[in-house]
Amino acid sequence: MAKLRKIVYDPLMDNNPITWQILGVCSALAVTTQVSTALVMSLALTIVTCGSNVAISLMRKVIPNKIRMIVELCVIATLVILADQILQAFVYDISKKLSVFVGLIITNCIVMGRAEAYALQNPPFKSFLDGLGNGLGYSIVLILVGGFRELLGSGKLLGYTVLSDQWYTGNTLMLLPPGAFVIIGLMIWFQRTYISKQLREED
Amino acid sequence: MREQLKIVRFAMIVCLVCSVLLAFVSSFLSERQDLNRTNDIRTKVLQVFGVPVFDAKGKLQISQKELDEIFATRITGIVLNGEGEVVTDRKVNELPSDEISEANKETGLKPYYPLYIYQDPDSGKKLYGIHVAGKGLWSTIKGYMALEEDLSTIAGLVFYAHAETPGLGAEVEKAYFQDQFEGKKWMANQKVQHFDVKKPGGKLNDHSVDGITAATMTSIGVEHFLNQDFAVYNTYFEKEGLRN
Repeated sequence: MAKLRKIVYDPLMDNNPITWQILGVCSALAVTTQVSTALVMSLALTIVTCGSNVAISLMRKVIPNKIRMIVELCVIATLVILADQILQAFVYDISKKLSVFVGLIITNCIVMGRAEAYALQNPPFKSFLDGLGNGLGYSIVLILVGGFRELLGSGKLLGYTVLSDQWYTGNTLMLLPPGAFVIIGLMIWFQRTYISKQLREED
Repeated sequence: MREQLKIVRFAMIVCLVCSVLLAFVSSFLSERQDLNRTNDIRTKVLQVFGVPVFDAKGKLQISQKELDEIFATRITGIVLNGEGEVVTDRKVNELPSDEISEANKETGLKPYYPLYIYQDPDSGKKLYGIHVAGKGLWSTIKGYMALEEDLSTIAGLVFYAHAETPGLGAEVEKAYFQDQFEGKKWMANQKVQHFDVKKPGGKLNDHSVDGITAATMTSIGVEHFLNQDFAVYNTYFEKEGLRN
């Protein structure tokens, strides 16, 4: 049980896909100007990672080794298109804001990386937990970055005004991709220096 | 050899399963997606005509039924081509948005120009809605402009899509920029005037507005496509004698 818990908890902090493995940074820069888009993106990625991990894990004994990456891509692409279609049908506004980035989940290193590194060797349930953990690890970072950017950039959180524009001028840098770079950089520094220090010393 | 056949067979099964799944889901959801797309265009058109479709937070505040009804009773529309001629085989509500905004590289003209005519239920006044779109600095800026019955006075302007620099060019979406256009005129002495988006702080007349500080390219782009698109609609207005 403790082992299973570790599969989910590990990628949240100590082995976070974005801040520790530096994967999936592209979308983390692009869709984090608002918390709401970051939330939907996180949800889509988490579902896709879980789904692809389970599917690949179920097939792990029959996938011919020579074409395993193509099969992984095929499964991931199918799931991503499904997610995109569902977003377009049910949350049209947000799907417009996410535009190409939902489609780009296909090339997100986290999804492919987990399929290749974990799901091919492990049973479905464990793979599902691994997908969930990594998806949530990605989500935490995305939502934090989105929160900082929306708050500092436009003085709002989830569309509600927090810092009134009567005394707060939005910081445009935060709305531009370099703003996300700065924030993710700071997060990585903070985590490595203060939180995961022990982990680093063990290495 | 047997090994290879196995690989091919496996690949085919995976592809088949994936494509069947996608085809099924796509056909199941396409109706909803189409409705979303048409609604999206419709709400924007109503917005420029001053119908309160969105509340202060930008949430839709009328029901699907009301939206359908307003469109059925108050709005008619036609489609023009780049020469200002009526295109009969296309309907305004069914134009894909890239066909009304992506211009031909050589001529600078777009394939289709939708024209909406709005009849106010209370005053009986007519408003004309034209689509304006073109390149800013980074992206295609798209919007609707409403004209009064004289086809010269601007009743409103709404830009609904762009990807300009936040804080600079993206100010085109702000009310302070769009509101300036209200009451400005395209015509003087029966002639179409060039509409200017000027450097902020300059002298303004009936045919010019302030541009956006530090977003010169965006302002130039807006000026360019407003004039270009209006000219197309104007050809139609003159031909039909709508202004008299």
